[in-house]
Amino acid sequence: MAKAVNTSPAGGMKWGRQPNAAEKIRAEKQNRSKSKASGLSSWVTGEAELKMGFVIVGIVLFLAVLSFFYTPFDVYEMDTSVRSQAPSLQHFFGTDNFGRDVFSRAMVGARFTLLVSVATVILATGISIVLGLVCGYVGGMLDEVVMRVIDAINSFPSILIALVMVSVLNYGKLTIIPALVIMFIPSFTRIVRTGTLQYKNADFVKSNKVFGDSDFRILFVHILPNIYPLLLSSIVIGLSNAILAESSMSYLGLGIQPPIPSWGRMLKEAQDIIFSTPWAALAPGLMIVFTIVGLNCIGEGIRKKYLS
Amino acid sequence: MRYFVKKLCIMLVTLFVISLVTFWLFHIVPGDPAEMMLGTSASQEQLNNLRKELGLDRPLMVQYVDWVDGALHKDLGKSIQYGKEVTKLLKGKLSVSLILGGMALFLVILIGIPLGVFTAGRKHAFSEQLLNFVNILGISVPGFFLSILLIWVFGLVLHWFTPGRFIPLHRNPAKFFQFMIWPAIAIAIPQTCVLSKYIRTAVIEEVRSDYVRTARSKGSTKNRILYVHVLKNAIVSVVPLIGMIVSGIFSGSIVIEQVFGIPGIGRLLIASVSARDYPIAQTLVMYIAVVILVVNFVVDIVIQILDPRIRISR
Repeated sequence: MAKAVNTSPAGGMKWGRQPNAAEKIRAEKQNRSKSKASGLSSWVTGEAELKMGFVIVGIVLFLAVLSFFYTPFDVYEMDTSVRSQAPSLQHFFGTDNFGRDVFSRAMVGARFTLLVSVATVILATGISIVLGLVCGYVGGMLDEVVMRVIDAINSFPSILIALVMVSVLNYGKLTIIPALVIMFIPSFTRIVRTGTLQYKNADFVKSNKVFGDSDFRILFVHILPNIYPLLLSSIVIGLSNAILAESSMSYLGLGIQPPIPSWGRMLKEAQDIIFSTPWAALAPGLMIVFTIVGLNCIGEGIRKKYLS
Repeated sequence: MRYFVKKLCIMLVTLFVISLVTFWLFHIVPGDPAEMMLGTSASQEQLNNLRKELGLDRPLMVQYVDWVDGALHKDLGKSIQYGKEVTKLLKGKLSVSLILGGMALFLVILIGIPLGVFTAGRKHAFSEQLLNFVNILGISVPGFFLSILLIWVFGLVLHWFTPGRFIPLHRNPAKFFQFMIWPAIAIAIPQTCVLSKYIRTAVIEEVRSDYVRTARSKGSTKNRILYVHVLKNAIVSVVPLIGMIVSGIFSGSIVIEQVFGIPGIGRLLIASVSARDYPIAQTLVMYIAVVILVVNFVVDIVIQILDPRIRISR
């Protein structure tokens, strides 16, 4: 029995069969050619993801900006002669039941969705930076209370909080922004706080304290810049969540009111006519997916590049 | 046992605070139920009379105590919009939503866990890049767009179910599940992607530990190690996520009930929020809060039982 174990030295330690010498050399060659091609390795470092993300988001931004100057068709004009047409060369994504060009409307819809989500994320970041820095730095009772509240908010379904806030804040064109800001404060604050705790007792902070820097200066000039990479990737991913949340809310009819096109609203209208013109959902839906994939790629890329 | 009591106390306190905040939020809103019921043409006297009748003229604290007392005795007040008792309106809707959520959770666990382990076993391969991309795609597709696509492809083109025709469970269970599986899939897909990603990370961490080497050296197969030894330990680190996943499922189902036209609490919630029907809205918010708090509480206890290491460290 003991002999049987000894005859296979370290054989069972690796997955499956051990490669012999010739196979090893071949494998090494393959590895080398792989790293030369740099296709796969750049995925691992996040370079390729970053590039792809920037290209995708760039296209969406371009379409949104272009919509101010040019759209293939007028977004509000209803042309009964081209009602409910399937996608064609003239109408890339077809027309809806009023004869409006779906692609043009999706281009214009980008404006409002992007405006709301960028505003939301900027506001949430500003509040979270202050809250997180102060909580992490001061600590004690304040920290405990704020963190409990944040945990409670975080455990709730995000859409529920937005729903409650929208109904409490009254309808308005931009009510949706403060309603969404609350959704994003918890995760951002936690990141800033964790970062602050990490650097609070670092040597460079201590030495600055000795030189008589104020707490304010230490927090914003010395600690905050160290947190940026981590915060940046969450902000980008937060932006994609904000777009998701905004379009959900306008889908539910609690965001922007018609006739201004927004992606969520357009999907709602497309769903009502799904039996006759199912393609009306494609353009706004794909725009949302496209934008969010792009932002997620950028976020993941930043995280891999700066934090690995 | 001390831990159990401590967690229970924290849960009850959180519940109390949430109920207080919810109640307060819904009562600082301009436009109280009396104004909603009588419309803009009502005189001040009529308003005052109705307020007195509904007990709205009392201090907020008294109203709160009254509401909590009623809730504990199954009296949740009357809906403004429908004029019916809230408990009657909720009847049947809770179970539909719970079944939908349960189906989604089942799918998430059934697919997410094996998928995570499977991808962890194939590190650094092309399939990893592919799955990574599919994962990003899965997280990126909004539930309502996914639902519209499902309705289009499986409902209108393939005729596997009839869109928009909800059949209650007691009338035809087979048809009920045939319909409900689609919204469940739409809710489950993003959460599955999240779960499988976490499982994958946890498994890759675990594979480095000593017991895996022991299992290998005694000759266990790769799959046996991954699915029997490693998975058991990896799951422990993923159990805390169940709370997050349940809350994600709620988020999803609120919107997706709307898309598929399922008469559950999500639809009722949106209708009541749009119409400012606060007795219903605050009841539903509390209901969801209770479910989530209880799930988190159970998860905390289960972790204690599953992993003795955490018990010692506390």
